[in-house]
Amino acid sequence: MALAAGAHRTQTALHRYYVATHAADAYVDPGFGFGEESLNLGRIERLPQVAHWELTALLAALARGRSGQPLVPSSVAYLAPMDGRRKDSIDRPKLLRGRLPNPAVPDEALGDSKALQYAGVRVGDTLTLRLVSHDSLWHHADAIHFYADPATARWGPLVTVRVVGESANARADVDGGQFHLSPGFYRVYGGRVGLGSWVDELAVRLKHGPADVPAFAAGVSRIAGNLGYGFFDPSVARPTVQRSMTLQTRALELLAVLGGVAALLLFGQALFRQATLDSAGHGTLRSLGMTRGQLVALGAARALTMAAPAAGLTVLLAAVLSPLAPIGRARELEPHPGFSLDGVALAVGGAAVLLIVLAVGVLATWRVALAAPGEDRIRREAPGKVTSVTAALARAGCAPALVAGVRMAIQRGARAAAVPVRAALVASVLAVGVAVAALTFAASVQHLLQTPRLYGQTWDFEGGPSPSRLVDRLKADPAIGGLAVGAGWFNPPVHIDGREVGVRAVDQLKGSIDPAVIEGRAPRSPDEILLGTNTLGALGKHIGDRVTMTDGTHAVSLRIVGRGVIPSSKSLKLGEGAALSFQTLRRVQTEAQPDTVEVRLAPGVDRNRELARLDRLFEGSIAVRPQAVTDFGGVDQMPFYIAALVGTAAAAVLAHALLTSIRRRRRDLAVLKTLGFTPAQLSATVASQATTVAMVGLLAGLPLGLGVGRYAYNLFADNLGVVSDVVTPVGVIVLVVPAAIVVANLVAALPGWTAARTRPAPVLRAE
Amino acid sequence: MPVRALRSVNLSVEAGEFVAIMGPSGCGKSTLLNLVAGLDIPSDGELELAGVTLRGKSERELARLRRAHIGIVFQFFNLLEDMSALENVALAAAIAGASPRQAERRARDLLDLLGLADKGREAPGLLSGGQRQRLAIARALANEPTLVLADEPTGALDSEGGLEVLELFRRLHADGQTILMVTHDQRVADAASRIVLMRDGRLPYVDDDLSAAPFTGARRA
Repeated sequence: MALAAGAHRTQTALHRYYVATHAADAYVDPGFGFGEESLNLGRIERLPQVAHWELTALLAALARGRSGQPLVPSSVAYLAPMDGRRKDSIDRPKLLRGRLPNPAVPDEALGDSKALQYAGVRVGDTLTLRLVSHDSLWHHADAIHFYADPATARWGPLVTVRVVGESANARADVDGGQFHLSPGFYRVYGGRVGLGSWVDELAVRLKHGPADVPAFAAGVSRIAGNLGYGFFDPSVARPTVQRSMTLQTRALELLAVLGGVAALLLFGQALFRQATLDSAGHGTLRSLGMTRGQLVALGAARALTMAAPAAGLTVLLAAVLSPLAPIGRARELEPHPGFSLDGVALAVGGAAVLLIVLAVGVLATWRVALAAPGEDRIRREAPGKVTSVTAALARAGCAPALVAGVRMAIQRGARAAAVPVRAALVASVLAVGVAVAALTFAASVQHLLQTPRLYGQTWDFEGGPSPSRLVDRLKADPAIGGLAVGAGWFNPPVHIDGREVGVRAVDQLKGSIDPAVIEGRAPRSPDEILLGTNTLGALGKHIGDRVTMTDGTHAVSLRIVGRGVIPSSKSLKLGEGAALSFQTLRRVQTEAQPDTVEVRLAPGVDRNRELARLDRLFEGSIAVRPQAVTDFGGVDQMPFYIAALVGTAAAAVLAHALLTSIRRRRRDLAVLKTLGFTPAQLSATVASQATTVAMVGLLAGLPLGLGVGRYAYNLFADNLGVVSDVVTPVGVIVLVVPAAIVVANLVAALPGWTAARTRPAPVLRAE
Repeated sequence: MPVRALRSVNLSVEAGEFVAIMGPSGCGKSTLLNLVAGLDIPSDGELELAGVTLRGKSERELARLRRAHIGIVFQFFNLLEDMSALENVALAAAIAGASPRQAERRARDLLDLLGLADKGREAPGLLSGGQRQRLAIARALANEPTLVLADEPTGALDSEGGLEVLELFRRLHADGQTILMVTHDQRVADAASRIVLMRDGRLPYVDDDLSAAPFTGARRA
């Protein structure tokens, strides 16, 4: 129930964050230009839809992170309020640590979690910025490169700011963190005249929220006329952020469902058996004149005495555990962390527990009530069933305690002394199976995270648009084994069979850098194309079929030769897209320009050194890990939680089975003692029973878990649209064997001690 | 409140004897048997079994003594229902230290001796009352005990079954087995070579009224 409530809280965290922080409804900027007429933001502020506005400069600055790495604009932005006001009406920061910058102190800054991570700084640390003055930016924009040393590049003042707080990051961008400079900073360090900014951005909250965006956009367009400007509706990008939380929500929901099913399977049997045994004596009641209906009502009342406290305890426990949610990124954004009473989830969950326990009790009572009058289904002794397994063990010379323990593990016993061995065996198989499946799945996810090739990045480095002389230099470089140039990152999508599809279109200049192929092969000739899994499915096509690619003016027919993974970009999501040659793309997009350089290093080179060199040459790589893969990295621990949940439930079922066994088989234990079993041998009997249950679990659970783990990961990879490469962590899985046996014996410790203390005389006398 | 189950018990059983302790229900017969078997510990007094005193022995030591010297036959059989007849008997031999082969052979021999040779694979639940008690006796003999203890061995049987069991005990005694049996039934006690009365926790019980009665000799009516 806690998991279900946590899932709901995780899913709704982003919406509640936007409400609590007064998120902007739109952003407008006049674009990046010098000396030209630009959009008058003052007129935008006065549009009738605007309720509140804030003006912020996106400053140009050079900086280095704690480890000396340059902080390029794609990783960190520096925002300064232009009106001296604190950010308290729009996009209010959600503080995680520290405090907001003091408007009276210009050298303070607030960093969001991503910015602090990129810069390698914490609250209390300082960051030195080489500001780029307005003049320098105006005259030298092309020459400014972010690998320049801030200490020596004299493009503006050198400023040291202190990080006084950390805020949550809810940006929709794949990359990018922000430092919010003090409201006093802009004025002190030169304002509009002194400081160079890439963009002055107006954030607005509208009177009727998102509903006013179309009217507002129309007003902006009218005021802008022929002038260029930027307009950003954040609601368009919010689904991207929400998607990462949705993934974690689904994981929690899956965990909740699995937990519920496991509990039902594992405890349901015990509940049913208990309810059945509680109905013992119904034969007597019927002979006294009670009707079937009255007996069922009696069973229901009995079940209710269990169900009501169970439901109450469940609700209480869920409330106590509520501070653990939300999880992942949502936890950072949660505006009201701590205890949370989700009335709906708790009410539904409590009702479910109540109804299930009641239903099990009524069902068990109904079964007993169906028995013929005078017949007591419980007391009737069934002939004992004898197994050859224990006989074989005895013949093989196994110790009597072992033989007795195995017998108790696999034989239910006669009705009155029946023990839920089946539940314990099933629980054991489930626990081992789930643990192995979880380990296999998690190892494969880790492998995916660490192997860019699997999510389409089949090269070592990806650079942005580059001058041809750089490309020629790389072609001649012996450290470069493969080189491809084309369009991918910034290229607009094409239409394939009427559907808008992002493309990665490169020509091989040196060696061969093929896309990651799942099925079929990479394109080799100008009329071939490879499609992402989801795109192929959406088009309803198969390998070998033909498609038509067009930009509205030009069209070309292409044959699908493969299904693979197209590297993500800002517009291309994992599982989607098309891969083809750049020359083929230009048959449709005749004006297309190369914006992507893929580089594969030659074998044997110093990888770290060469990557650092390429980083300097290109001023950073534009490659990013796909958000979907990063999101899964946030839940890669989930399989372990599932395994831990099922394992704990299995241990509980085993403990119940052992304690029940000792209670119901006390006569057998007493007889063994009269035959000469020592207390230690009785303990050993219980330990053997537990070990047998663990061994059955291992024998059946190991292969089952391996199969399920592989199947689940293949399904996951196919769904995600990545290359499936299942990893079986043999070394870790082997540890499951001793772990299962140790856990089983730990669970058996108390029951074994109890068994050793069996006093035969009173037991046998009572029997 | 503690109950004094036994008081003033004085008994010795010689090797080869078949002794019946007779007394009403609740007089302490089963308690005495449990003490002899080492399943209970006396609060005071001395108890010796096969020359070994039981006083001060740990549970483990008592268990080992039981394996070596004691076979118990219960009123309600107390067989292990999930094991076959053969396994029930073989288990007792195995616990006493016999190898698997020896245990199985001994079990078969005993079942044969007690007329259950064809019932070896059966579960106890499928046997008649008399057959189950014979199986219990076979199990009690599996460890070649110094002493067989029998607690109301015919109590749960019909008259025919009871006679079968008593005849078995006579045969075992004739073969030299030492038996100590408790019963409330005179007819069952008569199978023994010596009867000792027990009452109110006292053994041997002497009826003071009878011993104090005047000697009347023989009188004509």
